[in-house]
Amino acid sequence: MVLSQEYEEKKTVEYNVIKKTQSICPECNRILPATIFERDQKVYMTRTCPDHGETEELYYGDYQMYLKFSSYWDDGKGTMAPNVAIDNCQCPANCGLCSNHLSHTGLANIIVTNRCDLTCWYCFFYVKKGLEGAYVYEPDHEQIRNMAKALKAERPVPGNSIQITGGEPTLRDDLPEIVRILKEEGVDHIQLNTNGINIALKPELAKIYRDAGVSNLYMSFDGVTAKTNPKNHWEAPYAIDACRKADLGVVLVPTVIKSINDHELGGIIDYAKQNIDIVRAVNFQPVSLTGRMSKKEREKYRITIPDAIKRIEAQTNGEVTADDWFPVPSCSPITHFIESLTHKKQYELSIHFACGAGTYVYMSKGKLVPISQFVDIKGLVEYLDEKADDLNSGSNKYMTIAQAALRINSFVDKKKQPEGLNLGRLLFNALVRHDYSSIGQFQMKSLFLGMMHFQDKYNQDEERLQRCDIHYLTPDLRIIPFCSFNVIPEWYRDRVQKKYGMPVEEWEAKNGEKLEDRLYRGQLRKVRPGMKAEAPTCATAEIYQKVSNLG
Amino acid sequence: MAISITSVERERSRATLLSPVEFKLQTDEVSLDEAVKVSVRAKLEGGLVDAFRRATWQEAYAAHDILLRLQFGMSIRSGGQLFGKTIVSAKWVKKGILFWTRDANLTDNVTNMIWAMAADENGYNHFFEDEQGVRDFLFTFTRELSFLPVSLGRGEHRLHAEVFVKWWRHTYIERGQVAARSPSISLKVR
Repeated sequence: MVLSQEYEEKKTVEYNVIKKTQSICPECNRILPATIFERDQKVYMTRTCPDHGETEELYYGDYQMYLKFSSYWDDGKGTMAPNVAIDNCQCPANCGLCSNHLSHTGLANIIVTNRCDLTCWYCFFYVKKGLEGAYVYEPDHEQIRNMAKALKAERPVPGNSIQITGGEPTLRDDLPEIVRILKEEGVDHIQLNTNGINIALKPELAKIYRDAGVSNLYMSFDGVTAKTNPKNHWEAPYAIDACRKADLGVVLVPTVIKSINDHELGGIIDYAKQNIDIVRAVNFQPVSLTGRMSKKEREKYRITIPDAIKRIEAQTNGEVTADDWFPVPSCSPITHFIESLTHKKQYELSIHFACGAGTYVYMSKGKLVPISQFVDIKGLVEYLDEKADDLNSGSNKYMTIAQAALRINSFVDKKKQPEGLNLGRLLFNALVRHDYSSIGQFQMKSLFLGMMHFQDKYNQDEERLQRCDIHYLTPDLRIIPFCSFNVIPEWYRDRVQKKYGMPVEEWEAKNGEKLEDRLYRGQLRKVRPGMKAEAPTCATAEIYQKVSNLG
Repeated sequence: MAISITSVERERSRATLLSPVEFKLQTDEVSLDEAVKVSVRAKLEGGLVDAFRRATWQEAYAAHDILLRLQFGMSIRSGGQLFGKTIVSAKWVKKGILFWTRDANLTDNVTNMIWAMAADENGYNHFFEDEQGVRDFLFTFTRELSFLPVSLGRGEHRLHAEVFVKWWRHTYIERGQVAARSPSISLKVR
């Protein structure tokens, strides 16, 4: 946002105030007024707790990008069927969703287990044996069915997309049955969040999951070297190969940490490019800093969306530039246009502009061509907004469709458009005729590059939380925004898992196995002296070399 | 949101007007290769301006009517109203965007949580702490243009500015368009 004159007068010598919002104290969770401001072309947030003092945190790494992205601000329709009816808006308290939440569920997470076959030091999602109050949380089929029903009961837009997550969901042997339950409840899109290790070990699982109804894998992939991606560096290529054989699309999900793997973002895209026949997207997630951290430590690891975008421009040698990215709510005019045409409330990506960004890149002659290099995205969304206004003001629907048919092509630069692609026709079919079949063909040669920055206690902005559309379904049939569920686990995640889980010892006695029995022993990893390996040749296989050469 | 929209104030019967258009030349005499700089100022008044206020924002927001698009157009013309020609023209859009603010100075988070920001023609949002500031930014404009007088040719010319503003239907206003013309002023091209 640009400062108005009145605000300009209030600026202090230290910084330029952009706007006011609310946040929490990272020590005590007290809800506090917060100020977002610009300093040295970066955007920060500050607030002061009467008990714990001031917390200042980097909010957005580039002020110009903040200005550009904020121009796509668009509050959503909210939900008309809240589970928590309250008048007084008190984010992040009382989530569930409450009457004041502004986005319907875009993607709902269901945790099917909090057990994991890995023990990553930085992860807060899995049950750690030996900790006091450690609970194994595994909702049963009836609970899962009811959670899906709660999602489908959302109005005006019933939820339709679920991510099965964990822990490591593939540790549940009944996972195909869980997927079938979700399909029975009418959920169209089911994505499986996994580290891919079990699929690498048992490639037949890919087909089993696909046949059960999984739409795609959402697979951790933090880098292209063993150093940056100790989690599944050796296993990911095998998992991808298994998915290729099962025709199960893969989304690579790198958690981006400054000074750890932020130098490999271009390499990750390059790896996706090499596997574009099966990799549908790369969704970068700038790290959410959990636990108590000093300011110095936070500065070491903190990376925001603009920072990652700029690194991608540098590391792809300008193939994907910073200008090619748009914030997630830039899609809203498309929704408005279709709603005006159909008079039906449509699925809408109405998250806060600072939460996520994305771009489509199309593969042409071995290079990635971002869609914004041959489509005037800004002009197109402005035009759709105007046509939506026309329709809402009583203009003739068929006349408007005819005008759109003639005009939409003009936003596509045919000279720059990759060979074999007719995006004008594709857009017309999708927007006006609601025929999405050609989008499938487009996706076979394209990659979606996304950014999703989940919040933490240091950068929590309640304005963002109120617009969050990635939610968790819980057995008490609440629908809780991601950045409440995970940012304040003592209010949400831990409570839910304790209430509906069982102590580790009880789970072990009930199931006749130890929690550590299912830990991954590194069978597919490079052989080291004294280490037994079931597949010692894997480390020298061609598929491994492809990955390691990128680093 | 549990907000009744029965109390929406529809100000449809009241007319929106464009205030007298102020048209200024930086200089009234230029050479043929010298750029002519002009400025045009106008202001919307009445219906739409009165309707777009805090009392209606809340209800409009509840009906998910959150974006007020204003399309502005302006042309500098020479000659008479019927047979004149357009020398230079411009079109742009400004937006009023309703949003749920969490600024404690602006909201109690119970009954009056909706505020408006205004987007300029580049799409950049401007934030104001008072209602009048939003309205002034949205409904008033001063636009500067420059052009080479080659198409006019040497001699004395009468120029005037024509301005229009267009908006669409909302819970608080019907769609509409207003246009106005400035008085003519003369320009001598050497």
